[in-house]
Amino acid sequence: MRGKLRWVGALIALAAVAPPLVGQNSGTITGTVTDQATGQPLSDARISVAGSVLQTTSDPRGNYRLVNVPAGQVTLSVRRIGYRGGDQTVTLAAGGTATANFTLTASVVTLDEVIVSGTAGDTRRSAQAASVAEIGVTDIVRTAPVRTFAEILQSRVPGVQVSVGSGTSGAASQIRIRGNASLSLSNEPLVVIDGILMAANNPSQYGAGGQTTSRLSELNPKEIESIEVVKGPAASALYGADAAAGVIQIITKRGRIGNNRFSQDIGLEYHSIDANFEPLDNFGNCTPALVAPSSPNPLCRGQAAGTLVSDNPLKRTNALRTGDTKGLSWSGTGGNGTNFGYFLHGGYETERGTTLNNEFDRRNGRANLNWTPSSKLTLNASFGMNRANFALPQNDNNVYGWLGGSHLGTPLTRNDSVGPDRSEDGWFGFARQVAAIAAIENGRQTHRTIASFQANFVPTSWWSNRFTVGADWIKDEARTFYPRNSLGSYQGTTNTGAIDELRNGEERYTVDYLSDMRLTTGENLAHNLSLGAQLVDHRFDQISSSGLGLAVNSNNTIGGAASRSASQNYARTKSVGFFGQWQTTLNDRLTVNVGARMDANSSFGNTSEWFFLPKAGISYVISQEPWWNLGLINTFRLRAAYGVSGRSPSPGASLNTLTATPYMLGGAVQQGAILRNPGNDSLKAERGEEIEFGFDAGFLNDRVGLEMTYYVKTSKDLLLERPLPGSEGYSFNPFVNIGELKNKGLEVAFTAQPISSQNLGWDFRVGFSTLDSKITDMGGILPFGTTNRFMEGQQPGVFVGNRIRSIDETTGIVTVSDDLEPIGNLNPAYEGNFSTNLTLFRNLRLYASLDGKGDFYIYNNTAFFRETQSVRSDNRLDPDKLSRLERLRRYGNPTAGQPAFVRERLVSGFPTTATVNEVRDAFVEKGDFLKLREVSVTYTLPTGLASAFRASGASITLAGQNLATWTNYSGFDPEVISNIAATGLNAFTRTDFLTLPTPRRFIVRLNAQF
Amino acid sequence: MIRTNTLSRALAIASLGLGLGGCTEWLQVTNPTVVDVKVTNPPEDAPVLAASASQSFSAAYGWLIMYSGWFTGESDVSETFPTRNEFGRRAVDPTNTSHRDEVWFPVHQGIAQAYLVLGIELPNAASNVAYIRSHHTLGWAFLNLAEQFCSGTVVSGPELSTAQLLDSAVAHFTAANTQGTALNNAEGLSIARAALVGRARAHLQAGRKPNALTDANAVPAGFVYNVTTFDDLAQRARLGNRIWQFIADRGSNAVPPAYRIDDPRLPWRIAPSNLLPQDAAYATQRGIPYAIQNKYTGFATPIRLASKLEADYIAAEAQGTAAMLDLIQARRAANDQPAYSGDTGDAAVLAEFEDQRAVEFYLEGKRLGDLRRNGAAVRNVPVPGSTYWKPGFAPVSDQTCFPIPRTERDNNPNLGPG
Repeated sequence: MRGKLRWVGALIALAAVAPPLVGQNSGTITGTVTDQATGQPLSDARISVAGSVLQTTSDPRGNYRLVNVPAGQVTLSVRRIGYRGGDQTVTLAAGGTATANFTLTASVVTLDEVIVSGTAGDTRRSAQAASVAEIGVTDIVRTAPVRTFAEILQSRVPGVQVSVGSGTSGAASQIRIRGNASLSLSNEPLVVIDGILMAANNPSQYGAGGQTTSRLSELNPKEIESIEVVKGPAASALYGADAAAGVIQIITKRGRIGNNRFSQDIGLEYHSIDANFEPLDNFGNCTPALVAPSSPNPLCRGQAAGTLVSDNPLKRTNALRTGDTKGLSWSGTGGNGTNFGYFLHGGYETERGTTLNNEFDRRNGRANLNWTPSSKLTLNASFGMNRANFALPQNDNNVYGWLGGSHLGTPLTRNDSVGPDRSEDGWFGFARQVAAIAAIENGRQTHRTIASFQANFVPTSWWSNRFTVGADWIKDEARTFYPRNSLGSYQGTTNTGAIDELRNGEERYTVDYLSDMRLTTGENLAHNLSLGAQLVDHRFDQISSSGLGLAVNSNNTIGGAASRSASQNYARTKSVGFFGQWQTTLNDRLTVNVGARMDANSSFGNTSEWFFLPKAGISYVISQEPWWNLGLINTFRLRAAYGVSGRSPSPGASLNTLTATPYMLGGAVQQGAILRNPGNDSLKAERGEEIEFGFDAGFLNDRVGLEMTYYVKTSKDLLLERPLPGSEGYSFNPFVNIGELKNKGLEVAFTAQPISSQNLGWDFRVGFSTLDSKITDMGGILPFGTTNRFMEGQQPGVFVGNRIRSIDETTGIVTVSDDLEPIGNLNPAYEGNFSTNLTLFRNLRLYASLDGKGDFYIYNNTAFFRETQSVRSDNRLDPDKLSRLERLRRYGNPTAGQPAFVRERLVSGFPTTATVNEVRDAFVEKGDFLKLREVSVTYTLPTGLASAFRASGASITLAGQNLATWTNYSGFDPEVISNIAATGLNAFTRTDFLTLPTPRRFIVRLNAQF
Repeated sequence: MIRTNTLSRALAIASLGLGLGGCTEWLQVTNPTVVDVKVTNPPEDAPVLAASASQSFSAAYGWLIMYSGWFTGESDVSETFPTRNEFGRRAVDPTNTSHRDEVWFPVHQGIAQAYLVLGIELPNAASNVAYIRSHHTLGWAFLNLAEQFCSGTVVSGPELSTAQLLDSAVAHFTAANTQGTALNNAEGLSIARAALVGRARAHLQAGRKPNALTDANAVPAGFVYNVTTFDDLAQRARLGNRIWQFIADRGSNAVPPAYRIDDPRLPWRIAPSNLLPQDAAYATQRGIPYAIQNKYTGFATPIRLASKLEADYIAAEAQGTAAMLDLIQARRAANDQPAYSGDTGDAAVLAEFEDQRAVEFYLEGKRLGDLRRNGAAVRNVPVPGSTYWKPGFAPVSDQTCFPIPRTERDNNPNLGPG
């Protein structure tokens, strides 16, 4: 606590020493920003004063106002996403007011925009050697059918792969940037919000069969102004070792300094959520007992023995519902008219998923304050709070799941004699039908505060300093509850009432300092020296407890349980990094930078290792050369970047450890210890090297843009939790450094704005990326993994099986390969997307996006299970449904006494056998798909009509999401990952196992500005 | 200007301060969740480590009983897990993760730690309780590996044949017996006697009947060595009775028709309404009500590991048909069963003798050893080629032992592909 107070004191002191307002030697600049083609005002354009910290943004009417601008010749710059920037110099008299209006031309190539992430020194895009993508979120949340952070990223940046976990509301998605960078460490990108690190992992909570929730879903996109994605080697130099998997920087909305007008934005929305799948029928052959007149089975009674009957519990009970989302948001933006601005936001959304015990509520509040005490100092405070509730149904690999309950049930247990509550009645579990499944609670409630404070201090025109401090405080309350019941709806003692409670406390503090010094030598040469330092302190404390046996269900606390247990988990990590970069720019068009970072962290227990992370890059805007004259190509930039990253595992990974655990001796329980992890004294950081080349080109006066980047990302000394043979007796696998993983790929973004006139506008964007990922060196480790395998020359986690070599339809003999062989990629080798906007008569905007993924496989474990394990599918039970060849392929030789499959290899002259568990050719399917992801129509009311409601502007949006899917995959949805909660090596899987597919949404959204 | 310069200097000094001294110290963290081996004192902690290893075997013993019970037909697999149904069908795949995680690994957790203790130099080596506990653990672990697995390995070693595994069991039982006797306290003597039973069983399994007879006869009358259990919600997987847990918490074990007999040595009952099979279709598919064993009735019910009774059975089997027939009649009479009146030829007596063992040691993990030792004389085992009683599954296979898990072969450099 004393430490925190010291920080607060330091910040107050910093504010106190800030120079006073300039006053007499300053003036005011006002103006309007408009679109050149349509003449419409442009909001959210950022206007800044060169050589100072002064800046503001335009309001919805396009107006801006800058006060306390030092008198004299003043150069103003204006930047807005999607428009070519503009500069203007005005003369400002002391105490006077000057006007500077800007008319911006829409442009798909914007090299002059300022990049916040991964940059130091000259932060214009034209000076950046590495690829940084920017997403303007304000526009997307207004028109596109998105609700979560992952949906904003989905198919908008080439090289960023977003995989949806399932159709469960609130369930996490998987985000990867340029593929997996590591085998055992997290491959989720580092997420930075307003300059500080935030927790973006899938939090600890009780399992729901495979799905989990995401910290990123706690954020409300309506508070976000833009997102920057640092994909390449720029990331680690500024953000440190943990940035090896890429960085996502979130920039929240700001107030408008200089503007004394208070504007409000009110949004209302409603989603209708359709489950988007037809539940599967279960089949079974009636037994002689079930066909008897006294049979309790209404399907078999009176039928002939052996009759194939079917049932569909989910459909029969109408258990799925149409889900919905109701959302209300309010934001207020304004300032004091001089040097203070604010952005306030409050939002509430509540969502009911398509299954009865699936809910996702989110309450968000934010206050962002900007204060410019002088032209040399700005202070920004950002304070966001949220409370999120996630209630996940049991699904996927789970006997209490909706899909498991229905799709693994059998029609042979239908029972109309004792009532559904006293039998399985076609469902999977006894007395476990709709009411019993819906009564299971599994949720997490999180209270979270993310606060940051940033000071920008420019003591002289050549020296700027940025100091950021902030924290991400999280409190989670997770819980599962199985109500006491007399029917026996759950397993064993769970029927006496079972509770699990989990409390997580998590704190992450960031302190960051960056200094830039600019030096000009001669007329054409500018240099920037940047120095920085960063401290991160992360603490995680978890208490969990369980209770079994309740007196009554209303007394459902741990204290009310007959038997109780508790446990604790604690971890702390710290990291420190120092950064330096030299950047030289020639003629404002050729920029070269070299830099390095020294990083250390506490991950190795008692040994702190310093990593040296160098980087270098070059950017050349060749089209600015006087000799450039290539007609159609008016903008052309070449760039190349190289960088090194280094990552380390969790704290204490190198230590040889034991786990405290009890033993019985002489009738008494005493505390002992068993082998946990053998550790590894010679463990070192995983090192990544990334190099990228690319170009940005603008054609036809920047109406058409093309960005291409080719990258090679190599991870060396891979940290692998080497699977120990069970005979070693350790319960955890030790980290070892092995071999090499190489990812290569091409990223292409083609953008065009063919029509831009007052009454008609049309633009479109095509994104495409490839991923060629291979383990190039296993470092002597033998291949391992049975469904998804790790082997040299293949994608990590490549699908494998004993491949079918031949099928003899006459004998029924199916011959397979001796050993596990690759079937196909785990992750798509290519992805593409297409999105387009059509604007008619200024007020009507149509938007659509399509995306697809290709050359990857998914394990249809639902089909495998229903056909070969708990047999429920007519594929297996109806002998006429599939051809003999297909039946042999799927199930092997049916001849009694014969093995299902035989391997090629003979031992002592006899073939060795294989089981259907090893031969999954028919169930590991190609997952390639194309989806009509988003379609929307937005109508902006004419100003006159809006003013009738006392609004300055209003719009209505009708949208649809996941409207159509084209695929050959035989399951519901090739996009799902049933065990998205898995981490480390276990995350290298793509299985559809009783997983809810992504739903179809229809959305109505109203927005009004006042 | 003065203020500006002051602030600039302050920032510069702060930056320098961050870069210098204190970083390494600041980065030090503790991890209280684990026990760092460096903070232990091996000689002092060895008895605790050895007792922990014994507990690991005790926990594994429950799993060994359960999986071998499914495999030999002592129990029906009344659950839907395909990996567990492989046992009911005698078709255990090397990729079976349930068996790998619940049998192979727990057994080796005890073995590896017992070896660790034996590697610590301790005083009074001839009677040190840490060594005695470790040898005892290793004896039972090797014996069970030998009886249940087709071959084995320990601590990433080479593949060991059944004979080698039995020899190792004999060696560790011998050490446990000798050193336990030398220690001469209650624990030492109890272990020494249990080791005699274990060694007798290992000799019998290896076909060394005279040795088995000698050891069995040396076991004092009335001797019983139980694996004690304890009911603690947080530690049921480690301390509780596993067989009961899989009935109470999961509903995985049903008494098959052949074992639903009227004999006080094999108590069973139709399950009450609060104890249901995990496979809701059990009764429909099996055609009988769900019944559970009544030998272990709670999480704290002990499990017999060694006894004079077992020694008597070993001795009788070692001596031959006449001795077996005598024991059969004695045990039937003692348990209100009519005298055996069937064929008294060798094969028939052996089959009846095995039937008596099946009843006497029901769910004690001995049946698979019996099957491997006496083959066709062991009855009521799922018959190769027969239809599995659950529709949709492949027919029963002909395995007589468990394979080494695939991941062991993948990651143990001393094992071949198998």
